[in-house]
Amino acid sequence: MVWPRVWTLLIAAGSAAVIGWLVVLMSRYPEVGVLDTVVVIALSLPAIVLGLVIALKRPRNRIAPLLALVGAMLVLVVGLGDEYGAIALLDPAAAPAWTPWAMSARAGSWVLLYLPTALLLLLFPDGRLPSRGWRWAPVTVVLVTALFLVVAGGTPADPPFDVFPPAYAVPPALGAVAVGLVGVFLVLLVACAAAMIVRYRRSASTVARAQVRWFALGSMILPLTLLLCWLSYLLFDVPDLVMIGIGLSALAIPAVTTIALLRHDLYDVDRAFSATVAYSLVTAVLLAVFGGAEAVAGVLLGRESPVAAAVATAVCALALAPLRRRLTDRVDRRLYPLRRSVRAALATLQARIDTGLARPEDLPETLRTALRDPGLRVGYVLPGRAGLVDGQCRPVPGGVAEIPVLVSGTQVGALLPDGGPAPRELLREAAGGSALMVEVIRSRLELTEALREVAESRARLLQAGYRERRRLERDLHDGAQQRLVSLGMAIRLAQRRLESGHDEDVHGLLDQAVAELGTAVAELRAIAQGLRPLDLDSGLGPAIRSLTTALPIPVRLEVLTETVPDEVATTAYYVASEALANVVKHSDAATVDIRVERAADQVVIRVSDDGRGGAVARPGSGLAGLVDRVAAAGGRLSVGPAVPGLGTTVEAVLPCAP
Amino acid sequence: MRTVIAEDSVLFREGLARLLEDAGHEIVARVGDAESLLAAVAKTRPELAVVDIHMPPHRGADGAHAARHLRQDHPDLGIMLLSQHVEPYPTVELVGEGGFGYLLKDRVFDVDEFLEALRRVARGGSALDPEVVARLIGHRRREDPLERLTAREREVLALMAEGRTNRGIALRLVLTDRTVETHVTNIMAKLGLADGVEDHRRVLAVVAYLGSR
Repeated sequence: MVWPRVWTLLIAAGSAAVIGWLVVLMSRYPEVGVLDTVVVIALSLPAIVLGLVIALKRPRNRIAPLLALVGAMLVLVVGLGDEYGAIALLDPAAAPAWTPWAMSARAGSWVLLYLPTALLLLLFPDGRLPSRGWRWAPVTVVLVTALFLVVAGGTPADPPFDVFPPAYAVPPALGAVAVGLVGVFLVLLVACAAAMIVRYRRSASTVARAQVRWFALGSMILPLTLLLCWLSYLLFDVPDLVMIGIGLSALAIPAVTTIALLRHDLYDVDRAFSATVAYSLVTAVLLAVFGGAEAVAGVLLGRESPVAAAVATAVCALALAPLRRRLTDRVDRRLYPLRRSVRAALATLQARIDTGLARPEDLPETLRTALRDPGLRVGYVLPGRAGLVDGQCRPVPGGVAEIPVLVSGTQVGALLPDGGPAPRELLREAAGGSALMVEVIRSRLELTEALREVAESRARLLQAGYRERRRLERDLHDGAQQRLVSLGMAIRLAQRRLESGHDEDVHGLLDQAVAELGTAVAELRAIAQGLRPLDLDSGLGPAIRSLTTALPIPVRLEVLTETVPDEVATTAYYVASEALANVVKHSDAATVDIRVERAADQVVIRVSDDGRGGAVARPGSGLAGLVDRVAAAGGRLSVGPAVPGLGTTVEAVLPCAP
Repeated sequence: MRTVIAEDSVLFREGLARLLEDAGHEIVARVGDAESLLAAVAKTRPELAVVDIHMPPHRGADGAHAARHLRQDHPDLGIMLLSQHVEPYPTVELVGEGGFGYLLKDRVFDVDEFLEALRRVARGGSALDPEVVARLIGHRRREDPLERLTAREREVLALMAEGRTNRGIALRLVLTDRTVETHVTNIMAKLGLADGVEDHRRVLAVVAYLGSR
């Protein structure tokens, strides 16, 4: 048994029964005026239906029955009460015997309309009081309501209902009490609103605060209703406009209650909240100005003078613009200080940047302070980097909370809040306000990153150069040089043997010396080839073809025939050479495709195989060295796809003036 | 002269062996790495070891390390280190102790000079490659005492540093022994060095002086 849900269902069922009865009454007494009752039923339905929705989604939440009660009271007090009163007046003589009792019950029933709202103010959003100190409040509200119902029921009614004497009489002294009770009830309503403010101040969680703000937005309809009442008297001398306020509150309170309980995280209330307060105040002040101006002008020009109305209107129009700006400012400061602080902080930072006192890189710290979110981070979008990076180019994890920062529709970064008090609406505003600074930081990062990459690649090239020289030195040292020394020695030996007459072995010695010489020449040739491929002298095509002749895999070769500058050809040759070496070593490919094409001002070398795939340019690998070599020539190298099983394509694009 | 050759390049080793054999020396062992060298010397007790500085397993200064070991275990053994080019390894201090030489491999082309250097080292003398000496002397600094030497005296100093005797210097520069002796005395006085009788002490003094500048 989940009591709140059960209560909600019972209240909804009761309301349905009352609505059914109303429908029966309307069909039986069509002369009583159907429109008012239909409107009341329509207004009561949102509260009842949304109460049911909350009961369905949050079965234990005690707000659901209260919300349903808002609708139930409307349909009961305004719907059934008015309909029944009107029917009874049709023919007071024919009224049944229990009519006085019904009339007594109806007399003070309007106070019941405020009961659920008062309790909502006290118990929203979790169905508990703000603290134990508030236990007196709901008890007192209910007791005062009950007492008022009893006293009002025993007091003679105003016309035209005075045809029905009260079913019971209270001492006339108590009649005065009834007036006092209305005052007490108003004070209680204010206390309930105060309870909400207390709750807002005390609640630490942003969720609870957001919920209360939502609810407060809806509750503001009530003072607005008062304003409408005033306006109505000013314009028409009757309070009929109040009905608009009542109608609005019947829709707004259930709506904001439901949003606050179920979807508070989806929408931002703060702007709407402060705007509502600001415009309510503007309206109130304007009405006061209008009323005052009209009264003064009326005294001077006569009560019904159109000139008086015109003067009043002109005064209002003059006051409107400055009034609105000041009030909005004030309200913002009171109710929405974060927004102000963010705007001010961004404006100050911008000014300091303009005068050279600050750098755009101070933006994250400024936002952290202004938004009171020490964990907030700003991420930047860098080309060639997946995800966002921070100001030191370290990757930062994005997430659902990420607020994109856009410059002309392109994302340049994101704000990453960390549970600060700022609503998403305000974060979006902050993101918009910092877009240009983010773009500046992002560009600087991009530049730094590119320079760092250039420096690193230069260092790697230098190291590769040193390694290569070391290898050459060793090759020369262990090979050719050693051989030449031995050769010199062998010739000296032969010489000495010839001198000393022991020339039996000289022929062999010289043979050996020539053989050594041949080997030394071959070694030197190999070293020279390592310095620059000699094959390139006959053109890039033949050079690459000669690379492929010894390959154990069939090769399809398509190489441009025109000559390209030597440095382009050399780089292209090394790309082909390294890529082919990788194919042979790692790929298990059945065929290899080599293409060298000329496209406008570049040369494209593509080596693709149908092998195992999954090749990547690991640091220190031959491919990584190739990346640097190609970058040094002003080109770029790509290796892909990273997915195994689709073969590998190594592609280098080298700039080459046409 | 009973000689051990330690050299990993077979070509050079065999050529050198033949050269020495032709000159009437006996090659008692031919090895290709430092460890075998130590073993061969312990076993055959040669008068001279010709050692390549670069040898397996490390191809670094294995030969130089082996030379130090040999010097400790066999004080009377003559050791001739050979290398392809002038090494930064501090072998110079070994020169001063006598019975030690350090030459570049292509000195072999001047067969007689080379054999003479080997003989000198085996007898307890020294041999320091002219290239090394040139570097030592070429290393100039401000207010260099070497500036006070005459050109001839500098020539004599270089030959002293190479480990040559007065007689050797006299032959090389075509001077009389007396003249060389005078030069030597002058040099030692100008540099503030003690003029010893033993040749290798003199080399030590000169090399240490040059090296410490």
